[in-house]
Amino acid sequence: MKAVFTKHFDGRTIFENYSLELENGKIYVLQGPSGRGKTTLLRMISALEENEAGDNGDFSSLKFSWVFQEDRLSSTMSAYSNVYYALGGSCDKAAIIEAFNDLGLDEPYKKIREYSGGMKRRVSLIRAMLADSDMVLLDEPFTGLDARSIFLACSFIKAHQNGRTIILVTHENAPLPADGCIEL
Amino acid sequence: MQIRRLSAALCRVRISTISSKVVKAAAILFWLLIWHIAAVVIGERILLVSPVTVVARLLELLRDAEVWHAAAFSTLRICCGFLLSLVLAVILAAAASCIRWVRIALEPLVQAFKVVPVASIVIVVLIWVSSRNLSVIISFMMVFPVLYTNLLSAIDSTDRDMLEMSRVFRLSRYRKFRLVYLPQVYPYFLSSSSLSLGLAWKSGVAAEVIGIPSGSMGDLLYEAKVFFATADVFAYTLLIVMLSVGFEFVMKSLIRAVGRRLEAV
Repeated sequence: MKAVFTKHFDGRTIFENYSLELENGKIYVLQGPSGRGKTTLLRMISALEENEAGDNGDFSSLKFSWVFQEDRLSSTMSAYSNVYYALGGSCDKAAIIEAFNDLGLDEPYKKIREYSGGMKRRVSLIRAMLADSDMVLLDEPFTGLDARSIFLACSFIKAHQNGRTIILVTHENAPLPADGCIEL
Repeated sequence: MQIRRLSAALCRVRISTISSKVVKAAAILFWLLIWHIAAVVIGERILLVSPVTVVARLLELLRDAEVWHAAAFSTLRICCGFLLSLVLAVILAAAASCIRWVRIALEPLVQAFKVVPVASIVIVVLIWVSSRNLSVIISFMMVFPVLYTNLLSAIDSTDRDMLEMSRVFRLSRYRKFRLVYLPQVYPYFLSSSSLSLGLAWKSGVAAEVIGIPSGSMGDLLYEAKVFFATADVFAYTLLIVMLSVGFEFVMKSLIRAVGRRLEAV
C-alpha cells in the first residue's frame, strides 16, 4: 500500500510529498517528536483530513477503525452499548463480553461516566479491534494504563489483529512486537 | 475509622437534605401566611380571599360534576396541543438539521409564533375554528417554537468528535441516533419539555378565557370573574395549577423512563 501526502497548516508545512509505503498485515509503530504530525498523518491516511497531494492512493479503498486520542464514547451509555452500537452488528454479544474480560474489565454494563480514564481507553481499544476494518489506527491507546493493563492490551491487539495492518502511536514502553517503524 | 468517617459524611448529607426541605417548606408557609394576613387585613372577599377559604371553596366545587367535566375538557385539549407540538418539533427539528431549505422555510414561521401576542392569535384563530378546540391550537403555537428551537440548537451543537467517530465506524442512521444524537439532545429535550408544559397550560387557559368555549376551565374562570366570585377564581386557578403540575409530573416521568431505557441519561 502506497500513498503520497502533503499538508500545510497555518502557513506551516506539515508534510510535503511525504511518501508512505506499508505492507499488508503488519504492525507499525509511528514515532516522532511532539507536534511533528503523527495524529495528522493517521487522520490523512483515513481521509479524515484532506490530502493536498490528491487522493490517498491505495489507502482510499480501505475501511478503518480507530482509537482516537480522545475516547469518543457516549458517557450516558454503558461500556457494552458503546461498543455494540459502534460495531453495527458485526460482532455478537459473547465476543464483546469476552473482549471486556480479556482486558480486565469486569463491569461492561456500567455507564461510561463511571469509568476511569484507563478503563475508557480499553473500551475504545475493544471498539477499534472488534470493528470490521482493513486497517487499525491506534493513537495513544495505552494512556492511563498501568504496566499489567498495557501487557493485556498488547496481547489483545495481537490476538485480534486478524491479518490487518495496524499503525500504533505510543509514548509508553509497550511489549508489542512491531514489524516496522514509521519515523517522522 | 474509614467507615465511621463515611457514615458521618452520609449523616451530614442527610441532615443538609432534610434542612433544605424544611427551609423550602418554611418559605412556602411564610408566603401563605403573608397572603392570609393580607386577606384578613383587607377584609373584603371580593378583593382577596385567604388561602384557607380558597382550599375550602375548591373542595366544595369539586363536588360538582361540571367542574370535573371542565377539568377533563381543558386537560384533554391542552395535552393534545402539547403532544402535537412535541411530535412536530422532533420531526421538523430533525428535518431542519439535515435539510437546509426546511430550516429556512420554518424560520419565519417560528419567529412569528414567538413574537405575535397570544390575544391576537386567539382572535384570528376564533375566526377560523370553533372555540372548542382553541386551546389545542394556542398551546401548540406557544409550545412549538420553544421545543423546536431548543432541539434544533441541541442537534446543531452535537459533538463533532462523536460525529467523526460515527463516520469512521460507518454507523447506520439508527445507531448514529442512539450513540451520538440521543445522549446529546436528550437533556435539552427534557428541560425544554419541562419548561413548555407549564407554558402550554398558561397559554391554553388564557385562550379559553378569551374564547370562552362552553364547558372549559376558561369558561368557569370567566363566569366567576363576571360574578365577582373571587374565591371561585382562586379555587379554579388552584385546580389548574394542580392539573398542570400533575400533567408535568406524568410527562416528565414518561420522558425520563424512555430516556433511561434508551440510555440517554
